Amino acid sequence: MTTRPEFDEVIHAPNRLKICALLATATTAEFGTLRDALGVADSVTSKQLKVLTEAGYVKLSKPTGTGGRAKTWVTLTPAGRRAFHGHLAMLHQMAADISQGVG
Amino acid sequence: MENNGEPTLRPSPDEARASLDDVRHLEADLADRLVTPWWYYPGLGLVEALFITSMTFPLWLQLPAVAAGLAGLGLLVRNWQRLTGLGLSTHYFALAPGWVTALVVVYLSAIVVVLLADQPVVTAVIAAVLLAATVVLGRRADTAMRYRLRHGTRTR
Repeated sequence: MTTRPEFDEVIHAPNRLKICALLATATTAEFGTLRDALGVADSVTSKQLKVLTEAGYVKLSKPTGTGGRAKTWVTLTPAGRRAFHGHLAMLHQMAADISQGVG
Repeated sequence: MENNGEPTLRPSPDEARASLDDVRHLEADLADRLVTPWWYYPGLGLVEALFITSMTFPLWLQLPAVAAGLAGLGLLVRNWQRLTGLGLSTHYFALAPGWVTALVVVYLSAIVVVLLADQPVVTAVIAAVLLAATVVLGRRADTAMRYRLRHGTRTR
């Protein structure tokens, strides 16, 4: 399957790009794991996830029933995966432009 | 400089490369987080051995055995996810296709041998081999997957 390079304003912000990169491999991650991977505060992580949720790129869920405090899990949606791959392809294209320019 | 969600200008080629570096670092970090607990592959091997062995059980015992195996599988996955904070994604398989294929081939071969032999002793031996193969190949698959993540899967 080929991915059409497409710049995505929502994904491009550094923390959101990192969230999508992690979820593109893991598909689902716990809120605390994402926060630790980004190295930022809860509030910053929440803010980035809100933007991605509103764009339809991630879904949040809070499974219950196993006892203890329910944790929030974040899942990349198919639309989020497509957007991330398209954005990544665009970044590769842009990075290749400079490589060709320098060489 | 962190952008907290404000509109982003189209990046320069330098910024595009920096973003790709960010993705690479994130994947390397993910490799460090994807540490499979020691009990995971022995547990998976036991479940597979139970599935294989159950093929030779009397009919009334097969369903409870499969149900117990599925419950064990659910327990393994849930605890793996709880410990790593990550989902057990099928996308990991693509990072170590050779080892994952080897695991599937061993499992399917075990089914064929058990069906053809139809001998309790052979089934017991095959179940033990399957358990050992799952531990060895599973750990190899993990190592290969982490290597791929550390050396970039998307950013070359």
